[in-house]
Amino acid sequence: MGSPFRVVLIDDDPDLRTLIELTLRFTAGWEVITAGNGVDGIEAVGRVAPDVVVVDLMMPGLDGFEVCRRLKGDPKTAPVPVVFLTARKHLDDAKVQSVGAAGVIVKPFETETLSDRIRELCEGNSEFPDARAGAE
Amino acid sequence: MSEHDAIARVRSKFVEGLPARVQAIRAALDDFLSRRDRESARTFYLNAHKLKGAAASFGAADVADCATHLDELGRVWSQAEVESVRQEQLSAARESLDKLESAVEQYRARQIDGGEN
Repeated sequence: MGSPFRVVLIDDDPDLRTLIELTLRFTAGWEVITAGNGVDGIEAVGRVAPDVVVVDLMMPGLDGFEVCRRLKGDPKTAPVPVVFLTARKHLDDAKVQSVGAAGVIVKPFETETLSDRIRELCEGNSEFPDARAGAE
Repeated sequence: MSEHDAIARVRSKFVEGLPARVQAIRAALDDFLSRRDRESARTFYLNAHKLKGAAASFGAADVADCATHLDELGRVWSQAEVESVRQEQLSAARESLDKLESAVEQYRARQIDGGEN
């Protein structure tokens, strides 16, 4: 059995952050490292080398776009797929693609299928460890 | 702690924190009314947007619906010239805030009645 799938989750809303953390941990068995802001999140990504980053788009300070830009601008973190979380139904797809994000999940999300949605969005990313997807 | 207990605990924390979230939106609206600048508009938008997303994710649909109108107003205000914000929009925001407060009270009552707290 492989090591658990590892995600860095960045969201400034503590209740929602905990809900997502529990959801991914309990429904998919993922290892979840959390951060409450973009700066701490970027630091965590550099430290723990996750399989994927899930980041809320709208946060004070660094927003999700800026977090993604910085991660993609660092050769060490650039290969890690980044998935945006947002409550906005209409997002500028071109802007999402221009910063190199793997995709967007719109709130509210289905708790039972959240991990599957994240995986689906990352499947096109060559660095995404598909081989570990069924290892939990 | 079991999955059920852990989810129940975070849900309870969300429910308990709802009045403070509404108060933060109200304070942000008051601040925007007095300052009339983009920064205060953005703070109002951020607070309303956060509640919209969290409420929808926790299944508080009525609360999310009320927050959505405030979120839309905040998004427009934070992107537009502040001078273009009309009095009718400000009145509509106050009305929506009152509705939001009422939706929060009803949701909290349902959660407590339902024994989910």
